Amino acid sequence: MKINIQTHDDGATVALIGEFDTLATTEMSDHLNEIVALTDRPVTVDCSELEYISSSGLRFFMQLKRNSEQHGGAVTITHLREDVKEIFRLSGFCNLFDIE
Amino acid sequence: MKIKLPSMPKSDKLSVLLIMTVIIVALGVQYFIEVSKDEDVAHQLMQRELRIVEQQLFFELYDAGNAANVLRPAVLRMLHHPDSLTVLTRGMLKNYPNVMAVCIAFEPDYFPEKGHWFELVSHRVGDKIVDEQAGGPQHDYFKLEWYREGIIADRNRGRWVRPYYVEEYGGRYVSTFSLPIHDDEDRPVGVIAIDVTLDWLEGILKEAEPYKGSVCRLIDVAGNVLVTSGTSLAIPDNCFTDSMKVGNYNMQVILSCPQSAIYGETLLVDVVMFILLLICIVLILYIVRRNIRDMSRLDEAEENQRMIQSEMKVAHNIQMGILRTDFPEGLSARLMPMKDVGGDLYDFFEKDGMLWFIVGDVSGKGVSAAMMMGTTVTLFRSAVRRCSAPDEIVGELNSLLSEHNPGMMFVTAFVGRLDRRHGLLSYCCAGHNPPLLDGRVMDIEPDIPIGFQADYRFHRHSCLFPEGSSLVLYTDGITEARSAQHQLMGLQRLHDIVAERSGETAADTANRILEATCRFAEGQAQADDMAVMCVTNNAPAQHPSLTLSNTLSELTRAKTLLGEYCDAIGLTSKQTREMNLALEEALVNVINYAYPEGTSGLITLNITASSDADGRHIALTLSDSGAPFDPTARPEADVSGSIDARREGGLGIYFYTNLMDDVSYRRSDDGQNILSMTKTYTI
Repeated sequence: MKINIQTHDDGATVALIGEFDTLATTEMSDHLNEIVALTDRPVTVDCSELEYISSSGLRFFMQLKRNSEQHGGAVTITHLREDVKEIFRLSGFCNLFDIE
Repeated sequence: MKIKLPSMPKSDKLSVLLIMTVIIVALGVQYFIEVSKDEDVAHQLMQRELRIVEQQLFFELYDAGNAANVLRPAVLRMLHHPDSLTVLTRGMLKNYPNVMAVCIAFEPDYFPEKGHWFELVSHRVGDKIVDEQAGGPQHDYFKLEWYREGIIADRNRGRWVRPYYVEEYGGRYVSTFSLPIHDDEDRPVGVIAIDVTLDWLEGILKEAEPYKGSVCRLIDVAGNVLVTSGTSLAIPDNCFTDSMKVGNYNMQVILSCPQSAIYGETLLVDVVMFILLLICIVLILYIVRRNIRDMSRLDEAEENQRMIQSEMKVAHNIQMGILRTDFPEGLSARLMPMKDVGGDLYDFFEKDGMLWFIVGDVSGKGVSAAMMMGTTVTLFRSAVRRCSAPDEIVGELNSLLSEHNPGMMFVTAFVGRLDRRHGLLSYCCAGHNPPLLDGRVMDIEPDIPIGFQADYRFHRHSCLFPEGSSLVLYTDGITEARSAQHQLMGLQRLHDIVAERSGETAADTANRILEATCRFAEGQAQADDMAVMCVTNNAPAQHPSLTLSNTLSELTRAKTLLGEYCDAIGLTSKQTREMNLALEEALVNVINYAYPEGTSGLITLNITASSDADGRHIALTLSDSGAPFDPTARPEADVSGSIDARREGGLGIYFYTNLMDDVSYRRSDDGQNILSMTKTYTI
């Protein structure tokens, strides 16, 4: 998986590219922690190029959500692909996030 | 135009000098021939002029003589009146303006009453005519030439005496014509003498001018110049002179023509000719030298051509050396560059029981394409050792070849990985011609060629490649080979050749294709390189299975195998991802929890698939010899609660139990956890 992080005055935009599987969460843990730390402000996660997600990936989104609620930020997920959205739906995550 | 003689070889300089000498000598000879011809012409011309002048002079002077002849009978008739004779002499002067004096002189004592001497003279004094009797002791005319000569002269022709200079006639030369008089008894009576000035003849002489600057002179027998057409009496230097006697008048006409005038034109013509010849020689030398230079340039070009050809030969050998020919069983390739070097390529590599291969075609031809070809093969060899999937290799080649690619060269390539054991072929096609799989053109959606866009993400596809399968890869040089009739080889002919293979080895097929193509295009210069590769699988197919260690990094291997297998048997990408998700979640659980932390253990993955009227059935089995663990017995995760109510665990098991149709667990007799998952997809 590849991660692009862009911070700006209004918050941050994060792009997740490729397969967000268990291996990716361990290999990219530094970047993922960095993103979690950004959630004191509004964060938009661009998933237009996210092709696959497993439960480990979803766990990251869960951390994101919890952290943003604690620090008064907000997480918006955009451009979810259909089969990834299906996983979100299956796991009930659709109810937890603002998905555009 | 500038000729640098010093830069010429010595022998050339000598030749030039020799040519110049020959030309100068030839011109000299020609000049002398021309000059002698000029002299002949001048002689003839001058003779003609002289004759004309002589005749004119003769007739003019003859007139004077004629006057004496007219006078003579009148004198004879009037002898009895000697004093009246002045009428005759005076009349004569009036009629002949060129006559200065007329004289009738008688023999001694001819008229006794007149004395010993009797000479009647009429002569001009200014405008007047004066008569006198001039004879006497002080003027003893008997002793004078004109009389002495005259009295004995031919009676009809008379005699011209030598001209002489007379002061009283204004310093002019005078010539005297003397005619004897005889009476009826043939006794000498006397002499009629007529003095004629000669300067009026100047006009006649002046007409004789065959050449510019010619001088015509009348001289007496002593060489005194009587009349001249020129201003000076002296004869000009360097003259060509000819002369002619004037009748019997004791005078000569001399015509002198300056040599410069006679030879002048010849000399001028010769000088002009010499200059023209010189220019011609210089021009010829210039042209010859330029041609020689061109020829030497041609030689140089030929030499260069030979050098380039030999360099190309070396390049050809190097390029052919790059290409491996130690083919493994079930793979063979042939390559034939159009020129000495070309841009087609192939390579292969065996790793972990997998056979990797590439067939590619670099855009363009010749040396630049060959260099790109070499680079591509080298990069492939480096990438294939590190990468685990064809699309990864193509991606790496692409990112490296896209950088610093000012020539915008690109490579179309087909990279494959054959898992013989599992009968599974994975590949990535970067804009290359779709190969023939079991004789049929593969239906693939190619990615873009390598070299265009560094960050492009290439796609991997898979297909089953069981025992007996064959894959024929080729470059467009094969299908676009042209026959003598300008027909294209075409895909159909290739198709037909491949269709004939039955039980043939890969090498035989590759050979047959190249030979057939060469036969088809016999004698024609082909536009493109040709490459062909044949891959076959002779291994009996087994169900895909993997033995994995209990580390997370094994996840990739397992998912890759399952993903490719699902793709190969025709599952959609969504279905494939679904299967992969189930595998990942189950496998992560086993990896994390089957064996105590810090100990290593093995996990076996088995994949089986079958299809029937209901659809495709896929079964995954994970076995491990760790502590007994039944995931199906765990409570299902709650996915409806708020974020705070969520546990982080349990979601994985929830996924695979929900995604799969059936999940079962059993503990085997030999102490293994066996987790089976099945899924059916309708077709």
